[in-house]
Amino acid sequence: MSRSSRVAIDVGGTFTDVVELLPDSGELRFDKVPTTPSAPTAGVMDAFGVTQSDLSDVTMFTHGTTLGLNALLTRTGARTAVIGTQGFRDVYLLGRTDRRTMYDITYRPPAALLERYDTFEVPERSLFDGTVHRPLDETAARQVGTTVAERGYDSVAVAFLHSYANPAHELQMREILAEVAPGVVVTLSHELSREYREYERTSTAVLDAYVKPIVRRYLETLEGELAAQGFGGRFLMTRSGGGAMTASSAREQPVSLILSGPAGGVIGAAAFAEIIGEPNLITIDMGGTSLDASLIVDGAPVLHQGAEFENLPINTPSLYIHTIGAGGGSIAWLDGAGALQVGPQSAGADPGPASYGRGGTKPTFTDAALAIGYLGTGTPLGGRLTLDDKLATAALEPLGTEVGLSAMALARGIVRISTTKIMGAVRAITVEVGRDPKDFALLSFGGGGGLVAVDVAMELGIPTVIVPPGQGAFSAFGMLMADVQHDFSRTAVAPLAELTPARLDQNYGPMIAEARDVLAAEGFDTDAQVLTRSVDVRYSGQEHTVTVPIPDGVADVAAAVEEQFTQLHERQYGHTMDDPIEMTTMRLRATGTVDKPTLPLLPPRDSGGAKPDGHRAVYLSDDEPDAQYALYTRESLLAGDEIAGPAVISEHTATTVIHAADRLRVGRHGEMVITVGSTGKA
Amino acid sequence: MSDSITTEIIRHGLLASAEEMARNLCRTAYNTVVYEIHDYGIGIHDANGDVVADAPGIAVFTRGNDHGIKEGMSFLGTENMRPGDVFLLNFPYWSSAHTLDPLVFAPIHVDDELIGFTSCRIHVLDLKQKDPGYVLDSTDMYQEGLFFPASKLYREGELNEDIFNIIRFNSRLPERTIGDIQAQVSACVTGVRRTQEIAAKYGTQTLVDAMRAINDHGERLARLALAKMPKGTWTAHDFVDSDGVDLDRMIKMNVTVTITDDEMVIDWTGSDRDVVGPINIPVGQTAAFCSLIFKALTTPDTSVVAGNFRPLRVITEPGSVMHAVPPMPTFTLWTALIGGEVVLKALAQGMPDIVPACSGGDVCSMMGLGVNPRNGESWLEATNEAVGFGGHAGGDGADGIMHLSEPGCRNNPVEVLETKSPMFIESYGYRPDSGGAGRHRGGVGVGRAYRFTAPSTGICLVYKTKTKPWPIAGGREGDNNHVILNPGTEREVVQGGSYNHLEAGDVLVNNTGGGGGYGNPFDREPELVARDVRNGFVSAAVAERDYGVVIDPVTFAVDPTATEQRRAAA
Repeated sequence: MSRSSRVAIDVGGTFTDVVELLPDSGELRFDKVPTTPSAPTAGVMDAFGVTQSDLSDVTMFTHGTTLGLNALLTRTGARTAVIGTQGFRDVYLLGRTDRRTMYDITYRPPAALLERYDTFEVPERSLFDGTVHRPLDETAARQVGTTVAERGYDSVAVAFLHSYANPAHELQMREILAEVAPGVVVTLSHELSREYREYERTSTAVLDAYVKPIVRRYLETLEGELAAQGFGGRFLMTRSGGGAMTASSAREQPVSLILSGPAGGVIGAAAFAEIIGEPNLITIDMGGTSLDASLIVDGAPVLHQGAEFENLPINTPSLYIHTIGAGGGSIAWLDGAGALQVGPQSAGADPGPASYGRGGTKPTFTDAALAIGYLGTGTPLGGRLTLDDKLATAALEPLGTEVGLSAMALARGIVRISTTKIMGAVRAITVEVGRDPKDFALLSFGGGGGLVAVDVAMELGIPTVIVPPGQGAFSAFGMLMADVQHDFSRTAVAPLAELTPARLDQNYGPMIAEARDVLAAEGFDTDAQVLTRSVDVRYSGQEHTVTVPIPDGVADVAAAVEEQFTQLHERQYGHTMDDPIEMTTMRLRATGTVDKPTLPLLPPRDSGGAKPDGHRAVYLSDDEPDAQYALYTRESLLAGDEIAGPAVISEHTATTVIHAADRLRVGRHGEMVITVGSTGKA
Repeated sequence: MSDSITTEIIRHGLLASAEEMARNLCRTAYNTVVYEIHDYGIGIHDANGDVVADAPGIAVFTRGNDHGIKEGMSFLGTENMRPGDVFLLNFPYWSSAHTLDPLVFAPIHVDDELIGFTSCRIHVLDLKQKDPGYVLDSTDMYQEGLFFPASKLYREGELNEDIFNIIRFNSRLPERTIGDIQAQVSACVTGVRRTQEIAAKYGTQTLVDAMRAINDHGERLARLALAKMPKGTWTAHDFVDSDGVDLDRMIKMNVTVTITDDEMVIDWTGSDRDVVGPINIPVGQTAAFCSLIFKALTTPDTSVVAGNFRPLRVITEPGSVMHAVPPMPTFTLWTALIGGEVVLKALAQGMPDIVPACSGGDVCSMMGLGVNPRNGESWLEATNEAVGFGGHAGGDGADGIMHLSEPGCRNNPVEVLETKSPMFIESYGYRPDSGGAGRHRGGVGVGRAYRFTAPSTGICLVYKTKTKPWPIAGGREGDNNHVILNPGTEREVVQGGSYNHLEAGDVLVNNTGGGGGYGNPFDREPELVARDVRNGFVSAAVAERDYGVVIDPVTFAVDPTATEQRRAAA
């Protein structure tokens, strides 16, 4: 048996995280290298360089990159054309003609990815039921294709009306483009989304086309470099819709990479949910500038259909992640009339919070957490950066004077306001899918989450907070756990009563065959293929749907789905209706399962218990200005250790705070499980 | 006692609750007007009915819900409002909208003490108004549908079957109308529960104090902004095309705006009286759209709270088009949508560097209804359409954006309309050359052509077609809104607001106006004009005529010599 190791590399804005599963010991090794924006593949190869594995021993490499996202943020993607139905070339630029700022009488929309000159139209027309109203005019289509080639576009998105119901004309257009514009990369809207609403589908295709040439070049280069060093394993990319996809799928549908940044953490959370036996988790990942909140329900991430990048819709299933501008660097400020605000502006990493001592003078969340004693000056952040509490206080004082508060009271206020914003984010993602936060445990990771997780949980009635081991690199850990996934769907509006076994066979037959072919081609044999079906259901006349799993081995499928739908509707909205129920979209998720690494166990303590390193005064309020919090070092805790609050547990890259009524217990894998008391201080 | 930090925390909590109400509404509503085009107004209010948190929807309802709740309180008496009650109010003179925009509101009690209200207003499909869909020609309010004068939909948590039965037996579309009202109830009840949770967490008195502090803070923000604005008095007028009954009489809206150190006064004295048709508006509606404009000018970056409007005073003459009195008809509402830019027109004289030129100036709605031959069921679909925005000192007006009175609205997609109705959309896109020329160009409007494949009713809600969008500082007017029935045929009619009985095969084209231009078009950089020509927003002919820029129609290159000559000759 040869050595076989696995490596996950997650490229972030500043650092690239590496996690490696060592085959001999089953141990996970974490490391970091600087990200190299000017030579992206070099950074990845550097990351391989710090692993102990030889590339030829790596059987699986999982990769996350923000390449596509960066191309969008900086508007440096491909020169892209759009081809639509004659009479509708403006579908893309018009969008839904709304604006997000309510009262701006001189509103300008964000910079578009392309201009009207780049939009084309072809005589053709299909109808909502898939019938062809007007055949595609081949001569005109050829002319458009020729113009696209002559003008030198890199990439083209084809999005015809009702192509979700009948893709024939888009397929025909691709053939014509292959002929007259062979160098141009093509995206067809129906291949990304089989659902109606022309703008949303077109936008998805345009985003895909816009990043496709860059992603392709990158992946080709990287695959070449990997092969040159003997890599022959499976190469996977994390995707916005959860799980992973093969690098060859990523080349075809790079739109699935765009929002994959926070995906690793969510996948990790799903895997961790199983390991610790907590199937329902709310996750919060608090970094320097923002916080991502997401859900794990029954051990699986929650997906939704409404993702956006800068108001541009992406109509593929995406992990349900709610991002708010609340991070360690979020700046506190006063509006014109004297009300205290925190964020969304961030001091970022440079200059960073005032207490970093890099020239920042504006008070941030981190400065406030330091001032009140959540953070200390003794434990360097990430082992390198020592915080300066005098600088924090100096930044807080002027603002405090303006609002008539001491620096301490102001700092407390900044932490409370941040907590409130995070609560809003958590409530949005739980209520939106009809869930009560009380039915979940809160999984906190990232640099800042542990400071407020217990406060957030207490405010929302969440009974348990869990902090996983290696929380600073949790996202990369998650990538090692990612299965390969594909999503298929078909819009098919019909009464739910028609959801008969025959209808299921008819609709799912082709989808299942396609799914199995795709997985087989990726090397997953039948044992490693898992197919799950679900259907979008609503009351007839409503628009928004609830996605309900289709149970296997049930005689009356429609009745089973109806029962689940009714329960969900009642729970989510407090009422049910007598109206008939209809289905709109049948969905299939195809998973190719990979073997998961086993998370190593933390040894238990031989005797005695965890001992605090000391105590620190924490400012809770003017009435309790110096509550004594015990200080622990996480790295010295062992499985089974118990800590009664109040306490502060610091580790290499993060800090966790628990209050007087909270109890912390260290689990088998080193996770900290906190039972939230009823009288914590928020 | 609520300290400033607790107030901020409560503010966030109330805003999150209002957003939750909106999500809840959108996901349970039955008509596309709500969930596709976001035609709603949602608020959380203090015990006086003054809004302290809202969810973005239709801006023209700004504070309209406050007015309705206050009228409901004075009619019923707050002592008769019990925990668990939910009220339905659509009497136009109280609800400050037409009968089809019912306001649902619910009192928030903590331990039997009334501390506030939640409210939700949406457009529902039918409440027995004289014509299906919309009313354009009523001559008194009794033709405009059933009135519910703050009737109890729920009495202490128990559904009041009587009210629902009245709707069930009177509405032409009972299931969807009731489904939508239930969605409103669900939103209001959610808001009540969330606000009660906030009261439980921080203390009732703290919440009440925070609500007061939120409004006081909102007032300070508005006064700070007002202090920086130019002071003076300016007058302007514009017209609504007609009152819907006497189609030849244009209805004058006349406004005098005064800004002093302490307040903005918007005075509609001099506007037309004795208006026969339903273009009159209740005074609460006038206050609402004036509030929208005041908000946009003073505190556009913060969410609406009632305190924002303390420095605003609106003066109207009872009996005039801006202040209808019973039993005058008020259904069409459009005066409120067009009136906001009359205020801007006055202000443009005093602050041409702040105010943009006129946009297309209307919401340009199109509504279709009938029986769908595909399934035998009645259908009703509607969409608002984007207009061009006016050029302004800071730059060009945006192309094709929802009118400023309904910024949260979205268009109804072609694929949705065709799936749900027997309408076939022939084209939908920008209208080249519709934006007013200027150093900063007015945005272009859009056009959408509908072919009806079955006998249908087509209602066009467009009331600014006879006047063109006005420019600023030497710019040109934008092209006006207009609707064309059966273009290019012998039966072609160019029109505005109209209720059309259509045969299968009839075509309606809804063309929306472009924004007015800002500044002399001959001062526009030739390269910007070339870009507009390349993008098809301006034709080469208009570039030469209006901008004095000569452009090669193939390469889109500017001919500098010809341009210089052309501009020098002007």
